[in-house]
Amino acid sequence: MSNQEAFLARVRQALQTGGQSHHAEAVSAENGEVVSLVAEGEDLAARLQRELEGVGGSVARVKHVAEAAQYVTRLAKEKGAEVVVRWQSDLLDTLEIDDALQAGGAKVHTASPTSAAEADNRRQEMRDLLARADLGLSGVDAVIAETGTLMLTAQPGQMRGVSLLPPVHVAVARTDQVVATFADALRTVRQAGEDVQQNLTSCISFVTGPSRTGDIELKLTVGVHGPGELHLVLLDEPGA
Amino acid sequence: MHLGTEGFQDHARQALKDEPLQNALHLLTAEFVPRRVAAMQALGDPEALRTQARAVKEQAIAQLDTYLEQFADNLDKLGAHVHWAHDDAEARDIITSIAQQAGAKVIVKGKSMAAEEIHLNPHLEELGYEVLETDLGEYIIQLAEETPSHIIAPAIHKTRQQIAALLHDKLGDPYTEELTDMTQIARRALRQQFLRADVGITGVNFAIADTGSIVLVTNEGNGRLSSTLPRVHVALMGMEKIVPRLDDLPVMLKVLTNSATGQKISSYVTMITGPRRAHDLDGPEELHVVVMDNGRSNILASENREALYCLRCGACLNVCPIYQNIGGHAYGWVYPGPIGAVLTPLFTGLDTAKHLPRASTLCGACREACPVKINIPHMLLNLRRQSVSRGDASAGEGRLFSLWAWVMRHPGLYRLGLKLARLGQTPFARRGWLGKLPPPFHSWTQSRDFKAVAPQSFRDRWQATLQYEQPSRNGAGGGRHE
Ligand code: SF4
Repeated sequence: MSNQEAFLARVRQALQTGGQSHHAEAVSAENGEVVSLVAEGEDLAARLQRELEGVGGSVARVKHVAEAAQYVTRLAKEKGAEVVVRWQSDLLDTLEIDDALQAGGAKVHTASPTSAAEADNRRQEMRDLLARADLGLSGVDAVIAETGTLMLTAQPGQMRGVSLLPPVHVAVARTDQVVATFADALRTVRQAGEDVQQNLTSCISFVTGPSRTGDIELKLTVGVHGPGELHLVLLDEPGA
Repeated sequence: MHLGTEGFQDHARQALKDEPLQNALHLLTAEFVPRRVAAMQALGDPEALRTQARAVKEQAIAQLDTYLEQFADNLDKLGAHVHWAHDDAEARDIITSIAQQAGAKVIVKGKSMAAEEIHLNPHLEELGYEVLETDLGEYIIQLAEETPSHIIAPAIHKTRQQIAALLHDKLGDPYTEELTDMTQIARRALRQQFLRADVGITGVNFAIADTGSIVLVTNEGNGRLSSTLPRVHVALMGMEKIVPRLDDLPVMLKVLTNSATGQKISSYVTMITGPRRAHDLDGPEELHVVVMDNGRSNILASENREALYCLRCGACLNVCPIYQNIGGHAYGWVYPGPIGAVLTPLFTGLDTAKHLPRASTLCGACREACPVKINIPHMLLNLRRQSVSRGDASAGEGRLFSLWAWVMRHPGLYRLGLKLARLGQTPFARRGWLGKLPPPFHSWTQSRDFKAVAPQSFRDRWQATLQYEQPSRNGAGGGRHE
């Protein structure tokens, strides 16, 4: 196997050999800012809704926590959900939704944060549950208006699989979590602390609409591997 | 297996007669091209975006050694394993030994052109692993025991009926041509495998040097599943996939998805920064990143360095008049279309791929479509020049062009030549075109027409016009120009 030194030495050698004919290179790429398609002062929530619906997601605007809970419960019932797996987050906890879901016939399992040792014990169980789950319920870390994209980080309480394995994914977000662009969403990640690698978590999933494919005759079909349905419940209650 | 590049001319001829393929290619052109054009236009200033994206790649490649090192250091800090593969055999060996150590039986794969490049599947299968492609298009191709024919839409050459029959035969489900049902059949079959798999192999769209993150851009979610469910995740990347900074991601992502499918963003963009952390309830325990050279340092040292800026978006394929007519398989290797006609000879040598750089009209559509403005026609010319200087052109062709160049340098001879040609072409010309010429010109007219020499040359007509117009100009600046 090659080692790093030998590999990079070859690259360095090649860079020098090809160097003369490439003097025009290294145009400054410092300007990382991309032109935003979101207009100054545009209603971000409205834009988000339009974009997400445009790619086959559904968006429900609600005014109160209770309304959000009702919406999710009704949806679970409609889908005949028997197994629900959810994130644990402050926002989801304030919905106090577990009882209502249970009353509707769904068993709710929460990916609550644990100690590292405990996590080792719970992984298999959670995976089996997710494999059977009919509905995954998550929060978001941010939502991007420009493209209708949810930003979901992987951290204690926030399993990746909740937004991936079940056929239906429901996400609950507050309107103050909506940012204009992808670059803005990355900025919130940076601002979370000194250590960028720490803030990035092991995995950030940017999700825009249901899972889709055009692999058969370029015709759009949803739900091929990930969820076939994506619902965003957007809560308009500040500081909830 | 791939058809091989030597038989390009035969494959192209066959492709032209393949009706399902021709229908698929028309569909592809009709769908992808307008989608991309509309999407790019909606971006406000697509030109500025492309310039910016190109600058990112230029910088990344100009200091590739530095960025690769930074990337590796960051992965190291995260507890991920970095492997360096000089060539395809090394890459295969590295991945095999990871699979061995993981005690793997079942391996799931996300879409990866790099894996195609090193023929990873047949190798792992020979060693007894059960390897499953999970991108729907790739899965169909695998069931059919074929190879992809497009970077973005690998199964574009197959009709819905062919796929329906395939799913029915191979998986035993009742026959259906309903797209949703077909998709669900594949979902069920593959979900079982995802849950069984010990190792997940994916490609990499962007490798971010300053954070050690890898980014996967997908629509189906198979990339997410492959990098979440199996205990071990292996990400295979060509070394050129580097971008310097996390802050470069917004622009790169934007040009990639808009050019590839006309989407503002793909359904899923997955940014992986190391293996799962102690408290995570899912995600792989081990992350291995395999960085592959496999001929790329030769390209880096050559006059065709910018071939390494390629994002594999497929836009140049869709606009290419050659690809539109012959499809991907005729090119005979992993990368088809205009960029394939450049990459294939660069990777595999001109010996076997000398026809590919000639399979272009040099119309420049590829360069115009490319999100990082790669000058593909220029590189095709570089390769043609190289090919001719190796003696790939026939002696007759060489003599013909030397003669042509000599005549062009002597105006008197040139005019005489035109006069002779005008006389000589009389028996062959039909409505201003020559459909069939005798040797030594016959090979030109075998597959295309040649414009007949006009009865009067432009130069003669120009002079005649000037003489005719002069009196009406009252002598104001009406001097004759040669
Ligand atoms: S050469 Fe340009 S257009 Fe062609 S696949 Fe690469 S990035 Fe896309």
